[in-house]
Amino acid sequence: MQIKEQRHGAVTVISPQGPVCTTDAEQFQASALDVLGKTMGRLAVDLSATPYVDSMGLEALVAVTEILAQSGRVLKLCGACETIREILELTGLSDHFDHYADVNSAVRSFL
Amino acid sequence: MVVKRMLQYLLPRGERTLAGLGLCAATVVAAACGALWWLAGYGEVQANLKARQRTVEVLASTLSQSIEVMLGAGELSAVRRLIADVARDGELSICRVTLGDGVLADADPAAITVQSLPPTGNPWPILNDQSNHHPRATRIALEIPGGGSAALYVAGEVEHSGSVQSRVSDGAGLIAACAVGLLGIVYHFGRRKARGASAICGALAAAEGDGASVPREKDLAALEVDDRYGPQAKAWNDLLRELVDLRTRQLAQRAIGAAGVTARRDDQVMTAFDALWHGLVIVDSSLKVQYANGAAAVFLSARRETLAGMDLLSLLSDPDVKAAFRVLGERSTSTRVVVEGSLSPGRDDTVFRLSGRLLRRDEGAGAMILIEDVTQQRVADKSRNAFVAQATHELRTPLTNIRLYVESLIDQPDALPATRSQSLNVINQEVRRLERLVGDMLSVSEIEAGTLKLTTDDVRLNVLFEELEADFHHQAQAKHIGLKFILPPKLPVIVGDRDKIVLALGNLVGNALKYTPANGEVSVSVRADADQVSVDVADNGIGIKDDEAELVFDRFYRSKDRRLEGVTGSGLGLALARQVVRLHGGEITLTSVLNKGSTFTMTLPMRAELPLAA
Repeated sequence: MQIKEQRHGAVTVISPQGPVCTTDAEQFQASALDVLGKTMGRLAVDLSATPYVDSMGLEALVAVTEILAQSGRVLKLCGACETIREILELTGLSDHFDHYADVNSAVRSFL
Repeated sequence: MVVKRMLQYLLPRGERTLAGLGLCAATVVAAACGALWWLAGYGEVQANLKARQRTVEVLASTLSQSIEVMLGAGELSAVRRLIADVARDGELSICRVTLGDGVLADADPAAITVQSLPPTGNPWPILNDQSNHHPRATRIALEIPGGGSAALYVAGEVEHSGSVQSRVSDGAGLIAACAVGLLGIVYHFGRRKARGASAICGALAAAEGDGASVPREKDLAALEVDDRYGPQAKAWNDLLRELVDLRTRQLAQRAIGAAGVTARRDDQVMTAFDALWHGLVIVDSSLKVQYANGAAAVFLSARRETLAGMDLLSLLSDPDVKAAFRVLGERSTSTRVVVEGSLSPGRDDTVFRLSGRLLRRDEGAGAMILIEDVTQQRVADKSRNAFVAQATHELRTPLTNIRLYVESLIDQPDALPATRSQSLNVINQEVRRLERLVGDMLSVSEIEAGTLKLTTDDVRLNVLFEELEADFHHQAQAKHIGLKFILPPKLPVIVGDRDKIVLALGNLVGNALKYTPANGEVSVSVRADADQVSVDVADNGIGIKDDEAELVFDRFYRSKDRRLEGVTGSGLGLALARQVVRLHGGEITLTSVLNKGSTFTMTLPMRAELPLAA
């Protein structure tokens, strides 16, 4: 799976290009944690190109937001499709993340 | 009360109750024996009295008949002998015959006062019972045939033998002795059995006190009894010890509870600190770290567990930040410091604002440092400043052109029509350029404020593209660029914000013309299907590097390509275009080959579908 990484000012946005499942979830998690270390937590995840996530993908997202929670922050998700929003709601994980409609809104939230 | 005091003094607790019971029982037994003895004696006396009385009465009756006969026969001497004999044999205390005022016959000859019977034929003296009456004696009136009246007094003393009472006394004594012995045995064995309970009773009494002279015993250990008193005593002692333990635990729990309230409050404060996304560090007067929350540990690139006790200055790498906090530690000039800088070597791209202030003004007071990550704010400030500088330049350039051409027209009122027309044309272009720039700036401010909204209506695409072609025709001609619009025979009417769509398409076409060298080509191709409309804006210009393919959509982003050093621009066009298209539910994508050209593809749905608000 390709994971695009964009800098928006001081904020880094990673955008998985496809579903976050199985081994791709590990790759996504490693990529997100790498960005976290580099940017002091200024990270947003753009899910606009991600049609769905499975349980491994959810675990990866939760692992990243738990790392952020140690410093009082949560992972910012943007552009999540209806399927992913529904999965997060059904699993009760929606509150573990901040949700934004698009990347700009997510980046602006760091101001 | 005195006995009680004596018992309390003489007997240990645990013996007093039992000893009191024993004494009471002994007293009851003694009283019962005494009563039995007295009752036995009283009954014997009464029985003797009754029997003697009956004997005396029978004897008197018999004797009276004999005396009447003897006196009628004038045999006074025989009467006197009979009296003496009967008195002696009958153990009579009184046995006499009275005549008139005197005593005619008596067991005691000395008591006789009448020596002889009255002569025959003479009247007998009248009896005077007053002088001869004996209260304890039985009196029988005698009628002497041929004579007068006389009286017989008989009384017999009862001798109390005491034999019954003696026997009863012996029996009662034996019973009493047996009872006391039995009581002693019962007491002996009962004491072994009951002294535990007795001791417990004594302890309970001591615990209760009497409210006045004997105070309550509050020390539970003092209420313990000797374990040798039996299982009850052991159980009592166990209960007391459990009670002591319980009280101790209660006190401990109360103390822990009191401490727990404070601990819970501290926990809540610490939890709140950990929930902060700003770093919080508390240091003592020597700038040693006392507390650091999770965010502070991340910002200081240190493990939280190891932060406590570390020197704050050793955690800081930026000399300016170090100097500021050294001043705070010295408390010489300031009690508050705010400084911006980096925290870790190699992390210069991250800007932190550290605000430190003393917790108190006195010596020895610690300080609190709040660490904020302001990198994004600083980047935004920098971009905004760059935009303002760029916008100033962008505004000044067309304004300068407008002013120059207007001055030229004023100075040359007789200029040729062609020259005037050229000047007005330039002024018109520059005004439109200004208009676009101001429009972009307004849109940027709307995006920044989150208020960029769509005003949807029917958008006739054929009209829209005709106007677009007209708008850029002169610009393309001026640069000798071939601008082609490849439109299908029939374009649909979509629902959207016409002005915003024109803005987005204008930015795409304007950029294509701007970054395409002279004699290049720019084409605008439109495809429409049932769901969406796609617009390709392609050029054969300088192209865009792969690593900048997404960055060009960032606000205020300006390409680092040196070939563009002379090209002015606000860096807002593509960001605005993408934002507008996304608000419609569409997308803009880019495919580019460096030095070959770029193609921006804009897709718009037939009806604008507003995305969820952030």
